[in-house]
Amino acid sequence: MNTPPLGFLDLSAHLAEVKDKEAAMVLTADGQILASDFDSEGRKAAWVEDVLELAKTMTSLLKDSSVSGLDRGLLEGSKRKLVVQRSSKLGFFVVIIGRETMNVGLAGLAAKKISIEIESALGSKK
Amino acid sequence: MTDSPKTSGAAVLSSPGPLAEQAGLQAEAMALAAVWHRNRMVVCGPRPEQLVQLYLKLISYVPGYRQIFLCGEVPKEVKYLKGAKLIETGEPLAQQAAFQISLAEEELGAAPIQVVYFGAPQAAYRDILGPLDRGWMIVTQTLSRASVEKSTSSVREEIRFPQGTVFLLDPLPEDLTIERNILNETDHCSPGVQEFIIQMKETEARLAFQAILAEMESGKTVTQSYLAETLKVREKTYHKILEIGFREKRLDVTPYIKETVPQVVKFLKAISLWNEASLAAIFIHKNLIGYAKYKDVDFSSLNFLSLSDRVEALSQTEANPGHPWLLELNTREMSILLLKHRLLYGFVLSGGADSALFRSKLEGLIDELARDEINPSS
Repeated sequence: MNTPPLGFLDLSAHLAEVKDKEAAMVLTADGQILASDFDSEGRKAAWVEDVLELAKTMTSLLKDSSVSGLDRGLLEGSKRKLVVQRSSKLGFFVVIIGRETMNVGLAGLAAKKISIEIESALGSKK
Repeated sequence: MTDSPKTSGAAVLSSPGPLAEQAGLQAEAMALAAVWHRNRMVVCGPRPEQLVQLYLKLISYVPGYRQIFLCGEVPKEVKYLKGAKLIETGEPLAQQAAFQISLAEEELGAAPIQVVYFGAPQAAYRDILGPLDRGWMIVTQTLSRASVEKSTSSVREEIRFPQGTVFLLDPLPEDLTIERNILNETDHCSPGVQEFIIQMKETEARLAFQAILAEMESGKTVTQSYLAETLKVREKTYHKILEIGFREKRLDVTPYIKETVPQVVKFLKAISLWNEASLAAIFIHKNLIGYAKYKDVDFSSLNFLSLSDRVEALSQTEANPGHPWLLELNTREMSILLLKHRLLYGFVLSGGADSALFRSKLEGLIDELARDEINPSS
């Protein structure tokens, strides 16, 4: 299921190669969901806020450390993995969450492609 | 940082040339250390004007926050330098009592003193300076080592300059790296700039020691790693701060500071051999128990804790990643790695580093460290 306003974006297609994914989201820094694809609606409500907080912490800490902004974040736990791709041009986050067996290389690649597609689509509208 | 062996017995500053320059630097480093550490010394020179020159060199090493007392036959050209206080009374017992009280008051927070006596050493030592265990110098015309020992106490080191000789009655510190580095860095500067740098370092050390005391009084667990990072000092400077603090306040704080445990030191040294690492930090709970900065990088270890807190918060939610976990952040200039096993490990890697390779190399080291039962009180 893809939530507007990014109606042009087919998240499922981008994630077809990523096995064991549980969710994908495109979030603005203030928490607005631009697009999402969850394997259950219940998870969507529970996850968005927490995941956004982590993504924002990653970004703000790097900003405070006077290095250029976050490009990519990766969290690997014994139960779950999470990939965060930040758009340097527009500041949104692409987040992919999956089980511990998810291939983070493929997930990272998918997140990057999603980010580029959104940037070029929104960039061309301006 | 390597440290070449300390010259024992005598250092000589002689005719121009690279070897003489090296010997000169060694002599100056020894003199700087002796003054900074408040060694007792007898300064001898054949001619009054040369003796004054040598005195001026030594007195430029005295930290500006110390109170200088001049007594004896003080030459008029040095009377008012560096805010020195002239003791005009000729009553030796009164002087001795005054200096002893001043030394005792240092422990209560009074400025440390530096006493300078101009004149023959025998009476000065017998009547005034003998009971004072630190912070004085006698400036006198030519005397041999034997005559210095006869009129004061045994000489531990002898430093020769073209203008005269400094006989030290206390041993020098083992490690003169800090002093040598300061003098090396300022070797080609004017005397004014050199004095500025020396004074800055000495004042920094004093302020750092006061900060350490304040930190301990606040009741926090103070670890060597925490102090090294917070005060932004390397290991040798850290030890210098504690030594000078001890010499000035008679307060040995080392038993109250948790040293980095040998297993962690071994771990950090192993990481230092990998070119991609810029910084490493190890925590138990919130306590920084290991810290090393291998390259100049602007990243506070507190950031590791903030990130860890956020991941731990996520662990309490439906999106729980599980334990152990690893967090990696990539930017153009650097990568940040955070690993939570039993301990929390934080690393900053230089931009473009192969983090996967780093992680695989790290596994063995972490396993080794995990086998050792390290806890905050060890």
